Amino acid sequence: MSQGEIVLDNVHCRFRHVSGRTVAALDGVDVTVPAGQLVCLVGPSGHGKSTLLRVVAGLTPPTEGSVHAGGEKVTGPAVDRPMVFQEDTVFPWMRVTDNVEFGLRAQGVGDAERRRTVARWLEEVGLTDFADSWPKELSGGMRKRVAVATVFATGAPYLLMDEPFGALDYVTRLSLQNMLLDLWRETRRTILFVTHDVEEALVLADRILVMRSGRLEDDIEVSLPRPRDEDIRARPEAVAITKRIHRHLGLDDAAPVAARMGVTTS
Amino acid sequence: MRGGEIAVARVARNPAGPARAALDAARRLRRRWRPLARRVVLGGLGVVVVLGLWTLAGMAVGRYLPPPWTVVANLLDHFFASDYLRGLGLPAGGYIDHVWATTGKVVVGMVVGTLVGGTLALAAAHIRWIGEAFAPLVAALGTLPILALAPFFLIWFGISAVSQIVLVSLYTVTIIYIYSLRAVRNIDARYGDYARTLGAPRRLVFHRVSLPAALPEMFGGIRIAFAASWGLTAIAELLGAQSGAGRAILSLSAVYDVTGMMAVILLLGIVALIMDGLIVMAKAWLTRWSAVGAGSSGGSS
Amino acid sequence: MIGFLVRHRIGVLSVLIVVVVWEIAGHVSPHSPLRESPVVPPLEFIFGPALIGMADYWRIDWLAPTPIDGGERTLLGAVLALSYHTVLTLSRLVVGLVLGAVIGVALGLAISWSRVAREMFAAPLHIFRMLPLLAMVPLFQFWFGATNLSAIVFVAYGVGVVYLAGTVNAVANIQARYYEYAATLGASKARIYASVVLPAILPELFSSVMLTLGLAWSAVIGAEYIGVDSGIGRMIIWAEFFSHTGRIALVTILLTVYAAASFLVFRGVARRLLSWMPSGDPTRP
Repeated sequence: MSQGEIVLDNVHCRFRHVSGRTVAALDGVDVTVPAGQLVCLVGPSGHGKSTLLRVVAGLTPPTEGSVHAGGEKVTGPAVDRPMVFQEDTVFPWMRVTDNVEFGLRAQGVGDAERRRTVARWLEEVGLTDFADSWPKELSGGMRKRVAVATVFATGAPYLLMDEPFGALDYVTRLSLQNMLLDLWRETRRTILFVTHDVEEALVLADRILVMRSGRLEDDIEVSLPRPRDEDIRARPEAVAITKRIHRHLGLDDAAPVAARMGVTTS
Repeated sequence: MRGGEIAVARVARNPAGPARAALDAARRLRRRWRPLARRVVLGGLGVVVVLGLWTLAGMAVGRYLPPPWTVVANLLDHFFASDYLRGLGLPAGGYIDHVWATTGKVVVGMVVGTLVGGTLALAAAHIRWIGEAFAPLVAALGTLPILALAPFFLIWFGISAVSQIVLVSLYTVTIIYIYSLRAVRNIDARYGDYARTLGAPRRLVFHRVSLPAALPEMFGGIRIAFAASWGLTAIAELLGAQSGAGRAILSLSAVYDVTGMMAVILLLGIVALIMDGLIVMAKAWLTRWSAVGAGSSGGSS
Repeated sequence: MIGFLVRHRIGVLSVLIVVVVWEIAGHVSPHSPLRESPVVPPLEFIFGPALIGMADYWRIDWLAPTPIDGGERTLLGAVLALSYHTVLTLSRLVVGLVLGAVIGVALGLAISWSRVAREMFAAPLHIFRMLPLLAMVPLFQFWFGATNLSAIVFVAYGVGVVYLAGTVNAVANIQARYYEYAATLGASKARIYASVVLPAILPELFSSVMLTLGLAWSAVIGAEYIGVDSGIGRMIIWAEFFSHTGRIALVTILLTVYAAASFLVFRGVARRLLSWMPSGDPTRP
């Protein structure tokens, strides 16, 4: 599958609330994501991050505006834009292998090639020994690895991730972030990654989009070197990014956060 | 960092030495068997107490309630072949042949009903107009005591087995349709979304997502329909049939043979119990992926 | 009304199709060998001659003529006959249902008092639940005669076993932390029973209500089919003796209406009683 850019052109998404009020989940979003970029979307919950991702996935049609991926208009879900959900969506009734090959099966890939691809991606996420396990036998973090392997195995150029590591404990989350970065470096897919965790965005992103009330508040290039360990995240330019995001999120007096990161504020 | 949690899981799977492994296995076995043994012993005790109460009650009311061993003796006496039953005008064979005839009707009716009901429900869940078209019909069939239709089938299909099979099938279709439709609608929408973003076409979603996800709840319907089908078939046979447990009960009740009636009902109950056990086993195997309740034995329904 | 029809046009259409097919079948089907009724009775036959024919089952001649003594078939007679047997069936249903529920729950609570007793009776109770209820009609008739009492006891037995098993099961399913919490607060066993066990099993018991209502309808019809010589179930059998398909269809339609009404009433009562419960609608099966 060829790569291209993802272009959102004046995307609006309005829902009718139960109260009868119309709510704008997306309120005129214009953004272009070039091929191979790892973009993080941050913002408070309920401000349109997930809706944006669902619109790109084709799960929710926009009320106005259009989305193009690789020059083609998005009209529905398709295998070039698979998504990892925040919740556990690994199919519990399929063994790990069957889960990972589901997307390939959907494309009608032949048996032999399917088996080869699945083996490769299980190896990449470190689950080779668990190929025949049921999901219930895995930990939450391992099931997330299955989901990541599944979307990568499809060979799709664009990967959508909706707070995939949000429900995991701190240590597991770190190891999965590192794994994702490794896989991204190897394959250079375009990744749209939603998170509510500013630090996670700082570790992962080439570029951070800040969302608020259905609009893009800010668009920040992150040119810090990788891997972005504690020392790099404590650099003044990193702290400046954190502060900038906090300001958008209404966390102006960010003293405790800054203090934790070893920076004194005047 | 990357392999940390996996390493932990691997250790948990294969403990260090073989000696420790054996010890662990033994402990696991004991932990698994102790509750089971307790259940068997207490359950056996419960059955004995109930039989005791039955005997006492029998002593109080006399010949109206024969004691358990008389019923069992009667059951064994006429199990395979019996001139006595033939003398009552029943077709050749013992209790088991009559119960077997009923079992055949129940199983055929169940299979037909489950296939039709399940297929219709899955179709209704995926194709809107099918669901809307069936909604009022199923509502009517689900409300009406299906038994009320038995005389109709008797007039339409005569006293052949078809009457009873149609009755059971119709009942099963209704129950399975209601349960399956609810099961499919209860499936978490995330699974469908996830499958669609992976590019799965409708057919693949249908048989690799909807069907397996709905299976545990569908089994609830199958068990309920199966449990009720035995009585339904038997009473349909009482109304008019050439063979079956109901037919035998009718002949026995005509000569006031309460022991014989109880023997037939007991045998029918035992067969129903065994069949229910088989379904529970099939469910446990087919839904062995399920984290909860897959292995739960009978009891609750 | 119009809005309802438009919104459910596909459902309305499918009902219309069934009715039309039934009508066509009624007009081409042969008549039954014994009497004037067609094998598939068309609607105008069901609500015409078949309805009037129900007057045959009226026996008190100072209210309406009794055809059995050579009297005329009247609509009044038909309605009286239907009402009389409806009242009989409904009273058997309600008395049996209440009796079975009360005895079943009480017995279940008594058994559940001790954990050992609860585990002891789980197996025999499961066996009792698997005994084919409807096959036992002749047995109950042997014990209690072809009487009102027999029908009531039969319904009560069928319903009672479900409530008994349901209660024992529901108590077993209460999470231990509720007992533990109550115990840490210093509650006695009797107090725990009254203020933890009873409220905790209510939702599960109410889910049995709808189930047993359907069961009770089958049981009362079954009892009337086989022995008890009155009630609307029995009317079906009287009609069936002479292949009066129209009359059977009429009673079946009535039964559907009664059953639907009883479900609505029970659901309303259960909903009101459970309005304090937090989640969803527990009365929906």
